[in-house]
Amino acid sequence: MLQARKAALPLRPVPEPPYGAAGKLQTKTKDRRKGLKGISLILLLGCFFFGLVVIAQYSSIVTLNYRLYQAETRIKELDEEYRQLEQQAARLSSLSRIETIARTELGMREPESGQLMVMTAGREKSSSPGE
Amino acid sequence: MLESQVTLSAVRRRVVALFFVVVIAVVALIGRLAWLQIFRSEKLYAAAWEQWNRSVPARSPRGSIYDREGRILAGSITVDTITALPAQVEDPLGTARALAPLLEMPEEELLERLTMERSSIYLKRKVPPEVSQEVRELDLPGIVFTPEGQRYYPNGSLASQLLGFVGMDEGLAGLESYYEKYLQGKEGYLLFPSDNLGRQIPHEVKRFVPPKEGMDLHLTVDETIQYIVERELARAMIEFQPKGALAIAADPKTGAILAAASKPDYDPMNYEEGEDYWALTPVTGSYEPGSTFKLVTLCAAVEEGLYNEKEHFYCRGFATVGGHNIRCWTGSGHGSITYLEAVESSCNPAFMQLGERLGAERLFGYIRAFGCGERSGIDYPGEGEGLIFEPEQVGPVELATSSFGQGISVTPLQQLMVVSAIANGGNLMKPYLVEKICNLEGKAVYEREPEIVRQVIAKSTADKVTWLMENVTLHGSAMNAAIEGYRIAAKTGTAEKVGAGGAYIGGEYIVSLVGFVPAEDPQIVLYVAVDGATRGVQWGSQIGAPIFKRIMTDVLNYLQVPPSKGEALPEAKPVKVPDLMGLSADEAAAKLETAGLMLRLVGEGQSIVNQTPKSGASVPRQTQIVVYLSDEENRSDQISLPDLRGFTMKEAGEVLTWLGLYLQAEGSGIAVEQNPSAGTPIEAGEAVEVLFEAPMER
Repeated sequence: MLQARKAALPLRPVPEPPYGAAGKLQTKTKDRRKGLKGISLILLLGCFFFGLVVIAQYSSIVTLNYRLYQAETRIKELDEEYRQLEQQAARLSSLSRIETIARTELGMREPESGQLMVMTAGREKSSSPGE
Repeated sequence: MLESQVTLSAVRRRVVALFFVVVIAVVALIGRLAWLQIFRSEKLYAAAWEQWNRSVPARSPRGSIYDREGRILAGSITVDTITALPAQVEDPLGTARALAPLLEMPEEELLERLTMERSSIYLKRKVPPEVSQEVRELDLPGIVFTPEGQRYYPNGSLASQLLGFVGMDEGLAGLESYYEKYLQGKEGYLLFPSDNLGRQIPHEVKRFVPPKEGMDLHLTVDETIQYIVERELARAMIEFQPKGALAIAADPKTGAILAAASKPDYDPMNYEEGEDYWALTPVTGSYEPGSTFKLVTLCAAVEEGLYNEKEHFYCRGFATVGGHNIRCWTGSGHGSITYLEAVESSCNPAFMQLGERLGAERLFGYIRAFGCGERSGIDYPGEGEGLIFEPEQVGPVELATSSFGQGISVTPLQQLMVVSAIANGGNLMKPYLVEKICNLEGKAVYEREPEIVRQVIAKSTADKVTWLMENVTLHGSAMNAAIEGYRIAAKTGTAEKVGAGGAYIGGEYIVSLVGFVPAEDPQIVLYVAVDGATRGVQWGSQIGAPIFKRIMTDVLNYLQVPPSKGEALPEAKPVKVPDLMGLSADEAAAKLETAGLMLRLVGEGQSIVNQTPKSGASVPRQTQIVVYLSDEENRSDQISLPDLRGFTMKEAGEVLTWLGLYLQAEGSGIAVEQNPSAGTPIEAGEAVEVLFEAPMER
């Protein structure tokens, strides 16, 4: 369609540049375009890889956060378990429970007076502090 | 041709214009977005936050309470609180019906809560784990669970008055209340996104901000000493059937409280049921001290050079002061005694004489210097102050009665601190219960050092009073508190009880004993008192002294305190049992006290009709002499079964054998129940079932 319109337009003689200069100009433009394309490609690839790195970092952060959350949950569970065990240990080692077991299950009795003897290494003389 | 060029140029212009319009619009949008997201973000986020989210509070686990050896006395575990989010409850009636039996709540009450116009409401707080699990399994919409700390006391009622208890959210009594700001942590919450109706947005992330745990208290109290003290108080409650019994023990060198208890007590897990017993009486209560207070007068007299133990005094059984005859406890009087004997036998007129020599100003100066009449500042709520006369109120009678511990009131803690000062060389110490407070990492954020309030008496005075107190244990009213191998300084007390109208209640006494062991290097000072005993003779020597002895024997063994060295050791010479036949209980007690023996009453009546061991028998000191009381005219062939509660198995067996009965024993410990019950007529040859238990099981 554009071609047809072009054909319909009256042809005008266009002054041509001198042969040598035109050739050089065309070559320079082509080289520049190639360079720009290359840079664009590199930038594009750079952006792509940068994007990949950013996404990978975010993914890694999410994974670490998840692991952190799991670890915190585990710590909480262990803390609670520790508290439960501490309670159990305290209950089991309560002195009234031990005394009851000693009396009922082991048949232990308190010593009667006279069954305990105090051993002293030696006796020293002392006097009244007021004297 | 020209027309075509114009058309092309116009299109280009329009495209460019459109491009700029779009660019401007996009830039404007980006600018607006940046304005909202960067510059206004915090404000808008804050404004919107509350609309997006709903939160349910989660209470912090309280800090734990440990004894001085790091043994847990009070701790917290996590349990669930069941909360409803009414907007999310799809079937309130069905939910109420399902929850009612599990939560043990009326269906109507639950329905009312489930239909309230609130974002969240508690249904039941701190439910047991098994209940929580059952509710979870129902998977009811709009029912959420938040963790909360639940207090527990692994030793049950042990040290309950000391520790106090916790209500739903805060400490309400004892140390739980006093140290609330340290024990209580920071509140956390469960956060979830919700729509405009408050409904939880599905699949959105819920956030739980955990509460911050409170700090831990490390007490000066020793769990084992506390147990020994409470066990013996529980035993005294069975043995003497009093209204109450109390004890408080401390390290005299530091003022650190090692144990404090009173009976009856309560279970902190069911504290509503023991409202009358919440107070720690040794700290909060005050009463007339009786003869234990004579130590203050004695210290003042020795310090002022007004006491000479060799000086003679004649006790007529009373002293006339301001026209009033003030009696000695003996009634008949001690006769001619030295001041050393006056201390050993706790002679009231002799101490009135010392009080008169000192004068009101000096005596009350010492009383106040020892900390009586003012709060000690112990870290416990509701400390008692006591009541001491103001100088302008003191006349000759007030001076005389105050000098032997009547007409004034002090707290057991104040008395303990007086004796601690004697034990440590004269320094009044500030008593304390909490040694340090630690954060979650176990680092101490607060540590207490022993504090000397003031030096009240010189070391030489303290040493002399200690020696005098040792003599009370060796030859005087505290003989029954003596422990073989140890030098013990002690003083007994028997105070009449004052009624609501300010008058003395006849026949009701508070008997007590205060002392420290070993006298040469005091490790522990202990005060015990029994209020209104209904069995036995209400004398400090007969009730307070044996309790003191039993507690101290076990405590010395537990602390591995080596036996004393020195001639002041109580001799284990046997003594002859006096003839008690025909005497009243009080007369028998007086006779036995001078011999260093203990009296155990069986039966009811005015006079003793039998005794064992028989008179003339040689027995070691502190032997229990069991006597049978009866009214001669009421005697018959049938025996009225005595009350055996408080007897050991051996004692109960002896008494029953003596009465011609047989013992059918069950259990171990001391007698707590009997069948037939006390007072039942029974014929010789029959068997009596007696249940024995450890006192703390009651």
